[in-house]
Amino acid sequence: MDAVGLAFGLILDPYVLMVMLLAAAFGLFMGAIPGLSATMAVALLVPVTFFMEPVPALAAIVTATAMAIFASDIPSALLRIPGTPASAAYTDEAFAMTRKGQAELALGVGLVGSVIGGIFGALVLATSAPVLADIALRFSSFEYFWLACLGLTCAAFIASNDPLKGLVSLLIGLLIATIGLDPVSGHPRFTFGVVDLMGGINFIAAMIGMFAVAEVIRTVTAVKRPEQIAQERIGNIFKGLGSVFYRYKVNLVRGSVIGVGIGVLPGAGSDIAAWISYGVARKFSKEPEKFGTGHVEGIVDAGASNNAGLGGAWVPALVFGIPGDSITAIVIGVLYVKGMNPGPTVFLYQPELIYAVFIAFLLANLLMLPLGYIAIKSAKQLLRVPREVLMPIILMFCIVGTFAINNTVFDVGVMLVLGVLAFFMEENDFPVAPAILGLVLGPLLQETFMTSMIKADGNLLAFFERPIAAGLGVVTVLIWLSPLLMGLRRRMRRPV
Amino acid sequence: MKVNDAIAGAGLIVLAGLVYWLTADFPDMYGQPYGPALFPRLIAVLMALAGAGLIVQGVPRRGLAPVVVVPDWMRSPRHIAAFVAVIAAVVFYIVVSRPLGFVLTGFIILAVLFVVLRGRAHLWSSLSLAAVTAVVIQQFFGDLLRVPLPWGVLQSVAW
Repeated sequence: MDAVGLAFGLILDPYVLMVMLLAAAFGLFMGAIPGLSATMAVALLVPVTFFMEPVPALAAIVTATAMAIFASDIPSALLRIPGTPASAAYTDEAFAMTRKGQAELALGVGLVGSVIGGIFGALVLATSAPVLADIALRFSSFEYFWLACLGLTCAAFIASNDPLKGLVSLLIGLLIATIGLDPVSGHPRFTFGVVDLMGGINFIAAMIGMFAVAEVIRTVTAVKRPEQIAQERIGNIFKGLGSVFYRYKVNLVRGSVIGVGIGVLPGAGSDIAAWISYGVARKFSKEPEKFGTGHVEGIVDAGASNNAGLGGAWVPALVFGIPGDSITAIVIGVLYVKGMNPGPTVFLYQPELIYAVFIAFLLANLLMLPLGYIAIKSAKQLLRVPREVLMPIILMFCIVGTFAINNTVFDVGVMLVLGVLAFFMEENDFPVAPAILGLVLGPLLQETFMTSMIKADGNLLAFFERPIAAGLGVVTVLIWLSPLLMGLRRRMRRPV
Repeated sequence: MKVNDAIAGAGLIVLAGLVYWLTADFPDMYGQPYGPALFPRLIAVLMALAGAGLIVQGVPRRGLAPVVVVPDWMRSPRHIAAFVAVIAAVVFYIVVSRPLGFVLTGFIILAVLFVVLRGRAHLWSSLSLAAVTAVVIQQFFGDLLRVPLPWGVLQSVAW
């Protein structure tokens, strides 16, 4: 328990607390303004966290994302525009509540539901990660190879409506990851003699491009419809919350559990957690006909779910180094830069760091109650910030932030190219998250494969010789074959 | 710009072919069946297959929607200007930031983007906002975070 005390000391340091407060304000702002997402908030934070110790850096990311995911409920309820994709699932519902004069209830449920879901996610993370890390300590390159495969497979299959487009996005990410010197043989791949490409595509430049620059382009090219704040004066948001949460206590628990579960799956984060929870809420509701008319039930589920998903996504990220969503994909990039290889050994050698992340999660969610309240109260001012002014400033931050990584404008070029690529990918319904996962996991996939093959003397069957590796391998191969198997079954059923 | 899946698929097959062709001169590894070409080739094969899948998906839909859908923003000169301005801004930074220095480059980029996005009516507020932002970013990144942002022609007055 020594490490826990140490971790408290690390977090309760005045500097770290100040960083968390600033990150909270930043996250609330980014979440509340449509077009700026939680992932973008993290991408923009990274260059700044670069200059910090690991604990304040991670605490800043944890706090900013938790706040952003909650704050995105504010424009949902007041403008009918989700602040981040994580609230898209229940934007219409929340706005319908505002139309019925229940804006306070919608926002109150969003805030308190987020806090409860977030705390639940943090607790699951804190209890399950150390146990899993114990198991993961026994993993070799064979198990990690399958974990990377499984993670990439989930990313392609879950993250999009169209698995084929998810797969294409994933392959683009993997292809970008192969640029540079091959880690095993040292042979340059796709560098075309450019020295700056030898070390590979800088991951953080890619992130800032794909999540921030692409979003800036999308916002400035958006043909806007007039936005009207539906209700400017917000009354007491805590009124009547007790009875709502008592009535829908099952929903609260269910939303939190589903959120964590989806969060743990690689490639699927808060956005998808909210959609699935909202769908489940409607399916099991006693009054499904009320959904869409300004009924609070689905918001209880989904509001808790998206914040619970945040904590869940950190489980595979911390334990295996496999990101649970695009936010933790960035976190893993940050950890590598800080010289900490995410994985079970961190639990062994720097447990205080892991505990500090847990405490930061709890603290951030507790902080959300007062800070979120202030954000709701100042919604009018927050939503009036003109985006024409904001976007150039954000672009400037992207440029300087990317430059700051290696102090070279080459990375700024990488940022631009990948930003434009991501913009056109999304215009054509190719999801961007799988590409980012491909970019992060590509090197891991290759290294574990090559190491395993050197160990096993090129015998592919070695991937199935260890029990856990075999289990993971069979599951992965089954998922790969599932579209084929389902197609076959359909054909068999068809009468001859 | 939204294109029919079949076109995207065909593009992917071309890309896959190119990737495969570029791996042709990758050396083998001594005593190992798997060399540096393995993963790029695997990706290329899967990409070609996915491209073929997109063609299969897109061809039946060709009658339902135009092959290329021009989005609303590409019909509006103002939005096209915004798109071009954002990209030009980054290219401009890459080219001139070192000789011109960050403060001036940042000011020009911000001023142009503000004017393009907000219209000429707010010219003076745009210019002053650009100046203040450029200096604040210089202070925050250059001074506080110690990023060596270039001073360029302003080297003599660097603070």
